[in-house]
Amino acid sequence: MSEVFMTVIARIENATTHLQLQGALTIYEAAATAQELLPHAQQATTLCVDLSGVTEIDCAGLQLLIALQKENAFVVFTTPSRGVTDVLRATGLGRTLSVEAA
Amino acid sequence: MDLNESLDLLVQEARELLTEMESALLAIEAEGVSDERINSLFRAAHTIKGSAGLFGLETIVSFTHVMESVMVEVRNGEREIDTNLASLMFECADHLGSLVGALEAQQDLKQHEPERHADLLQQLQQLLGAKAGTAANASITEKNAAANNNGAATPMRNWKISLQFAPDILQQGMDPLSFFQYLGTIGTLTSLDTITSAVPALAKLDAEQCYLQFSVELESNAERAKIESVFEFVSEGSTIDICCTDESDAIDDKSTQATIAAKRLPAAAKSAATPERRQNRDNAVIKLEARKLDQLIDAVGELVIRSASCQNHPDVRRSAGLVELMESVGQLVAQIRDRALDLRMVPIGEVFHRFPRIVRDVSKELGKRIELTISGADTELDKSMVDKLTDPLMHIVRNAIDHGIESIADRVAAGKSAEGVVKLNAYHQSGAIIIEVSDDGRGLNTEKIYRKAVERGLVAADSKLSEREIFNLIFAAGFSTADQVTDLSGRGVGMDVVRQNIEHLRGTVDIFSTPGEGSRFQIQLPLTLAIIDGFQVAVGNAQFVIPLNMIVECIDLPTRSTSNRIFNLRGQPLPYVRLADQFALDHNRVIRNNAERECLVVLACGEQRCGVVVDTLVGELQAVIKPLNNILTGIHGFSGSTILGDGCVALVLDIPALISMAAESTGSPADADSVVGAAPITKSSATAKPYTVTTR
Repeated sequence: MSEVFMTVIARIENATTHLQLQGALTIYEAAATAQELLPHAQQATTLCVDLSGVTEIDCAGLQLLIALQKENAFVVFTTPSRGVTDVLRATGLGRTLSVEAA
Repeated sequence: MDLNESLDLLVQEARELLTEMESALLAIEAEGVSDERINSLFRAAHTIKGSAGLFGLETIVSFTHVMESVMVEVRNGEREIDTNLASLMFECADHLGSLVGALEAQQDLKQHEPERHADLLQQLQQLLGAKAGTAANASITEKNAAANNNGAATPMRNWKISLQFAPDILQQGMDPLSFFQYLGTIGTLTSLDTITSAVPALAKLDAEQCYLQFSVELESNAERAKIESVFEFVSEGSTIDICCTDESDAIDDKSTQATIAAKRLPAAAKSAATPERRQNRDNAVIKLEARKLDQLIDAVGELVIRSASCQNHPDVRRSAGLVELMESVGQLVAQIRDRALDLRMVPIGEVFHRFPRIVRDVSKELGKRIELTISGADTELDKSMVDKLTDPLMHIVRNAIDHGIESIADRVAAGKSAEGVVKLNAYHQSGAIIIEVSDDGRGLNTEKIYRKAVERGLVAADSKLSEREIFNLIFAAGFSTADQVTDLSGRGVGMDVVRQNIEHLRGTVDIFSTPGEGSRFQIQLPLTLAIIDGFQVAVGNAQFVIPLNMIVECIDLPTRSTSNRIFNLRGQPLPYVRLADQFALDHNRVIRNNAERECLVVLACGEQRCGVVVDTLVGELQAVIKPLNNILTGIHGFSGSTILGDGCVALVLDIPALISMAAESTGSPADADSVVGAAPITKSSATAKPYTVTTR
């Protein structure tokens, strides 16, 4: 299965670090993904995290996003995939996280 | 989500757990006991009990409860898993499987195999002694009471549930989100708030701990017990407050707190949750009615035809822009086609994974030691075929163990290892799927088969048969060479059914066997796809389509050689048929510039090759295969028809049939190993480029 692992693609543009998350964001990937995200969150002035490639998300994934926002307040989550949107809406976290539809 | 859907989920979950249980039992038998395996047995029984309890299925609950109790003793080291217990557990798993089946068919569980149920229960309880028996009964009544309460019509009430899970809940493979989905099945979630204050910044985050807390409002007519039972599997350390916010009940209910404590669950059930869950999770699956899929594929088929007609429409051809546009549409259509067809494909592992159990049972019964190796389990084939393959494969495997593999004594005497080897293998080969069952047993005894066949009047006493023809005799109805009739084989039913089943799937079976070294059954199946990449050829005005993946190459036939039906292809003999003669086609063909030339299309199917002579090569196309009308099904050589972009009908050539025609017309048997028959692919030509075509 190709979607088991999460890959983080980073590119820096106009002082904004763009991160693209691809794959599942669940308890199985959370620890590794957290490690990968941490340096970006600490170094970047502003972060833009593209969630369109997130195929699956669970509580571990959600709190990872929250922790990311707590680490670096200048973060915007963009284009959440359908699955992520549903979970955000269901849990009411769409209000807590700064999410931009497109 | 209605009740039926939840029941479906239960059935599906139970099946998965039973499979897990079976593989754990097999592993215990093969490699010995480990904590993880025992836990997996325990968890299966426990989880099935839990979910069955939610639906008030007491038959299953009481049964799994006793199984669970036995497993508890095993886990606590009070009891060892010996072969008897393992066999009993196998039977219990089977019985549970059949109960689940009955549940799915919406039969009354109490009426389902009552004797077997009672018998197994008794065996289990004997193991446990009288004490456990009463405990089980107590538990049933308890559950009964709960179930009855649930059934009573209680008014809708509002519940407020606040959830603070144990930090390690995620590591145990549980996702709090799934509880909400589940709550959604017993009522309406009116609000769900996630409290994030406990989540630290990323640098301090332990990503595998749960920091989130939830506050849920639920409107439901369910009893408190039912709501509590949702969180039954939540571990120690979680705090779950459930209170009713309706005024009428507020006084008794508001103050009550239910903290889920550990005593509900023996500790190991929880700690075992992770590894297996991880495996199952990888196959996130959507259940889909096969009919919907077929409708989609039908529609895509029509789309393919229309898209091809558009591309060839004269108005489109006139504008370069449109041509380009239509080509990109065509590419997308091809992609959609491939993906749609892919949806029907499932790995053959679905069939193969049943075999360890079958081999275990059979070998035990026959007192043989068998090692089963499985390879190519991820080879994909059409879903409809998978279902029909199990029976024939099972017959072949049983036969291999019963007839093929010698007894342990004989094996040792013959200088082989005591353990016989049966191999299951699957792979793709030029547009077909090959499934092989091989063993290292004694091989087929051609003399004995021949003698028996003569005895039974299947062949004349003086007939001369090739080795291959003799092997094929075992597929004849009523044929058996076994000296002793056993439970499993030897009664002469089976192999003929095997062949019938496989022929139904438009496949073939071949047998290869070396005396003393073993035999190999090779099943070859077409990739029955509704849409294929085809290659269009023409004879006179008649259009034909050949599956592209069967074409090796196309060459010009230099002169009209009439009598000779063997072509010398770079030193290799290649039998060929002239389609015009084969199908008695009108030969007033369109005169082309090089009118005296014809084209020879070299085809390969499995290990056989032949040539087909046609007038013109038209080009590649996507062909949507339609079955032939009943009137035409008797005609040999066509596997279907398709509608071309211009609306004409073209027949799809049945290559295996053509190959045997070619072999017949040269007057030799279609043996792969005979010199002048359908020539076997040699190394050099098999690796040659797929095809070279000069068209239009």
